[in-house]
Amino acid sequence: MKNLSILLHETKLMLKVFIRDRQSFFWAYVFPAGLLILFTSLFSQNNAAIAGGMLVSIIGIAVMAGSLFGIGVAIVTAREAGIYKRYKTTPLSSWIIFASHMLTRTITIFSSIILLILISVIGYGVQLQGNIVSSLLVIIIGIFTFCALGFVIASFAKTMGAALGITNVVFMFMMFIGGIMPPNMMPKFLMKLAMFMPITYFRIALQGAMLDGASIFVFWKDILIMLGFMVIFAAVSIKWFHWERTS
Amino acid sequence: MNINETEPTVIKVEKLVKSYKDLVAVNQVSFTVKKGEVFTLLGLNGAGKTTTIEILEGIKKPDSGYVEIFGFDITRQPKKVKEKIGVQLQDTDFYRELKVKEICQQFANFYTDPMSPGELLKWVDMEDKRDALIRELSGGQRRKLALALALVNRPEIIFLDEPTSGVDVKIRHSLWEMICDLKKRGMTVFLTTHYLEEAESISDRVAILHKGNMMAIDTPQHLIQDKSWSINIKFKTLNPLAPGIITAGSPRFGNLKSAGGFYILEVNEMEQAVIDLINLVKENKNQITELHAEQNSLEDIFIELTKGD
Repeated sequence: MKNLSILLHETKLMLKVFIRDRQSFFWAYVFPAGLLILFTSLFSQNNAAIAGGMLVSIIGIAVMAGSLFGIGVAIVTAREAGIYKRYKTTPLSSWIIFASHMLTRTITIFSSIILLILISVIGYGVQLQGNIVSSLLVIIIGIFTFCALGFVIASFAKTMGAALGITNVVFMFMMFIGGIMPPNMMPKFLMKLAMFMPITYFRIALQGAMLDGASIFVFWKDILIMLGFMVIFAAVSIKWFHWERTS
Repeated sequence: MNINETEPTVIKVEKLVKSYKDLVAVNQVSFTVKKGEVFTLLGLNGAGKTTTIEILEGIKKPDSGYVEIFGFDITRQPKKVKEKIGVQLQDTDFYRELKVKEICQQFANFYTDPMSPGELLKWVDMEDKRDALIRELSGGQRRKLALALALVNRPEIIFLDEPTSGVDVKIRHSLWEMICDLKKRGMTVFLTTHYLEEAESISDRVAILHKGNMMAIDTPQHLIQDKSWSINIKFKTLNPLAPGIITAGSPRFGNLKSAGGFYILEVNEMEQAVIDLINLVKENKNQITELHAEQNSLEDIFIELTKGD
């Protein structure tokens, strides 16, 4: 019970840090909302189905941005400041720090998704006829997969600058190739490259769940590949991740 | 100042070794600390002070050796130890977007019988900052907060790693007053510092580390007195002294050197050595025009023990 109470208190504090930090706020809300409004206004031609496709793509990007920046950059910044080192001198278990980060990301990403859905439904007449259970499952698997990738970045980036640089490159690359660009508009080599990115499978699964109302069993292969990515990222993080600065 | 020998041992370190690749940071270091003692680790940068204190705090694992705190092995029972110790790291920061009272409450949550944020902030005289964000605090205020947080669990031992480095004189004095207050309350204080005069005035015992090796452990007074030539006589003469006549002039005399227009003579006993010196100079048809005698300080001992490879 004591651990649960500490976990909830840590999550509350992490949420306060998130709300009071302008950068986190920008990447979680302003950036995906701006992208959604820009792309939907430019390309949807008042077609609710196209706008729905845009919504799914931008949700994918929001999940990726929230996870990568929220874990990779945030953890390296706190590590550089010696925050985790100080925690290590207390009886606090590291699983609580890990769980509070994951819980915080899940809450902030879901709040961002709700904002995006509201913009699409109210602003562009998108009608969601998705499978709620499948959608929730896909989003949670997505959050966990990209958070695991965030931990991989935090495992190898020694400074906040390095973490920001790596995250930006990984994020931009995946956003354009697997997140925004429709597959039929991509040259063949980019299509092949997209096959090695978790965002590609996340987008397919999310489209199936949120727009087509499909059960998770319809796109089980995509889910399986995402879980595969998650296991690989988690294994690399377990091997290389460290809470303290390396000297 | 001296701690009662009958007090129980609260920290026991035996043959501690820690290396980073080819560099041996701590080499076969052993010592004990008694309850209520103020124990200070002194050393130059890279001497192994921080590595030693971080092993004791449970942050780093030793390559070999043994650390027991309150009878608990720090590597096997770290949680039992961490419940009872307070720690201020050399360079720690907090989430800058959180308020002072939120940070105090956060650390209080980690322990079973914590002090309230109000009690903590009163002790460091920062009650007016309870609603301030961490990013609004000065460096010195953050250091005071770090010291306050080290006390949140009412610890029996407090570890302070260079608590006063990098702060202005005013904050430094106020931090030292707080540390003196901890000592008065009977808390065991384990600290590292660069400020020798402060270490000399507050410590029951000091340990001097050099390149990972323990060079000396004792009370500051014993360290100074144990030095064979522990007193310096600084003097000037009317005419230059003939070389060699002084050092051979008395068994109480040690080395003679000159600096800043003075002769500096190391002696092992003050009163008789001064008489011997005056007589010797007179016998040589010369005259002493100025004379000062002073006991060596901890700084002299420190410089001597840390000068070689």
